Amino acid sequence: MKVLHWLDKNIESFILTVLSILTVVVVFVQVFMRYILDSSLVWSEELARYAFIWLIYIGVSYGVKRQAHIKVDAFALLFKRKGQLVLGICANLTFFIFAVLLAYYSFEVVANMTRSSPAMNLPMQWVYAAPMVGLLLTAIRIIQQMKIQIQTFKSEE
Amino acid sequence: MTALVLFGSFAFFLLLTVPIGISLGLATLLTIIFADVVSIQYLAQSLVQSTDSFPLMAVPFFILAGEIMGKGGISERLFKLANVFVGNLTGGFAIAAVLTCMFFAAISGSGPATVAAVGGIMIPAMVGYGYDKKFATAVVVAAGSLGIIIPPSIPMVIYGVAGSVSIGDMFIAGILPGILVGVVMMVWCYIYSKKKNYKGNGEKFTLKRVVIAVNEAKWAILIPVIILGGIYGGIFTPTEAAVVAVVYATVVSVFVYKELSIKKFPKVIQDAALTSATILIIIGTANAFGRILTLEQIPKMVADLLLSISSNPIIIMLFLIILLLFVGMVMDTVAAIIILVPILLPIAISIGVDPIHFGIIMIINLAIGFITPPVGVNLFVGSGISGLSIETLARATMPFFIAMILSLAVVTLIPELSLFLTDFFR
Repeated sequence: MKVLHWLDKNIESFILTVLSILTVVVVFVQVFMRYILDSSLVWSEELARYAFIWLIYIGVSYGVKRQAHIKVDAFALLFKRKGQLVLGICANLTFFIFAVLLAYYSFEVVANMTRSSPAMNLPMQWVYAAPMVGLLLTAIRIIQQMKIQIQTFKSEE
Repeated sequence: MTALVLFGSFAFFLLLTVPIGISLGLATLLTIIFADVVSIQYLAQSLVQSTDSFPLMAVPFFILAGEIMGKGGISERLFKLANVFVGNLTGGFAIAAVLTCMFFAAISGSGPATVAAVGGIMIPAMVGYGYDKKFATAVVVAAGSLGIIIPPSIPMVIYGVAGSVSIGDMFIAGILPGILVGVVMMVWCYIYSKKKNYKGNGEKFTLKRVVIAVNEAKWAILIPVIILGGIYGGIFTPTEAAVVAVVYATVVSVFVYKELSIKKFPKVIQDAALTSATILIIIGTANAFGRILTLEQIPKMVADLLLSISSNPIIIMLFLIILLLFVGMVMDTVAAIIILVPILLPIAISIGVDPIHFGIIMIINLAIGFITPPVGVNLFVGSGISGLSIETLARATMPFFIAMILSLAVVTLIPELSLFLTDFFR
């Protein structure tokens, strides 16, 4: 239970911190090697790009958790509090459907992927798994959010 | 019909308050199910392919660098520097606030981040000095939009990627227009302060004070030199420049200014990653959306329609600007660029507008969108800092809106303002 609780609290923020530091260090080392030591790295840019893709899709889940996604809420402001809540629940339900569907289709893409990356020779499945994993995590976060929204809705009844 | 499904469902999901990036993906998904233009696997693959770009990585790095510098005590020092130059003028505090925003814009690539970093200190300080709170907030809210006009600029990175234009050229092209917008805003600050009798700080301009302030702010002033000098000196790419800025800002904030402890770092990194991801998911899904647009020949249809109304370049440009202003009011900047560049850039080129010049026009348009309701992010940040309502703030920002429109007209009519420096450096 303790592990689950820690994961629930920190999984995205932990992964995002690691990936951010990794990309900064890798690209900085790349610049350093090229201009100070005059020897280019072949793998650094590739590694940074793949870490970046993971950062985006884990970040999508984190965005749901922290309710920070960019949306157009001008229309929602026309409603009273309760109407906004209903609208929010519908929006989350729609987002959930998208996350699950795209996670599934990403899985199909991963399952049929046979290429490897040019520089590191990394199976591209590891890269294409980013949206799959990120969107599954997102789906879980949306359920958590909807649970809270429905509770708030009920308590205001 | 396919276009109707695509745009209709996109608008529907937006109104439902589904995040913009997800709305793009859902509209694409629905259109695929309805018209079978591309495969669903194509959409899934494009989530990776559209974000697998090294130039695009400048976005998260500039966001991270800005986040570090916003918390590392850099804006106070930039303000002190600005104050030495203009503090003694009528309305000196307000003019210094605009100048501070310009300095900060030269190290940050975001509008709202500039408002947050400068506004947090400047608004209370101006109010304490006797300025009207509405005016004080409006100054920073408006000048914060310079964050994306003066390089580095996140929207310029996106424009460069979307329109296959050199990001370095865009950065250089933004310098003079950015200064123009800033100066026009300062002029308004002066006129308003004269009317309201806001005096300067009474401290005489002396070379000694300049030297002291420059010395205190020297680590911050070096950042734009490293970024632009590095890119134009051929030392590194914009993305690498952004990483160097991150490392440099970390060293300065933690070891030199000592205002950011290592303990606070994970929070700073996570906040930056959050901002990056919420912006970049839009790019992840917009690619497939754009592909359907092209397959359905929508850019060509829009172009034909426009060119059938008039063949006068000025009329068409005016039309594009009005469209961009409207989009800037209701739409997020990155989403607007990603969706509109494939449609509007070919039109601009066909009437003889340089892609770099058009990019600057587009960026200023969208920067104006930062300070106009309903979706003016700078207004939201300013309202958060000052406690003023969005309506009050929007009204107080009106003169600056006019100042920006005037500057936009000048930038549009004089292409050299954008292109002179890029040609000079080339």
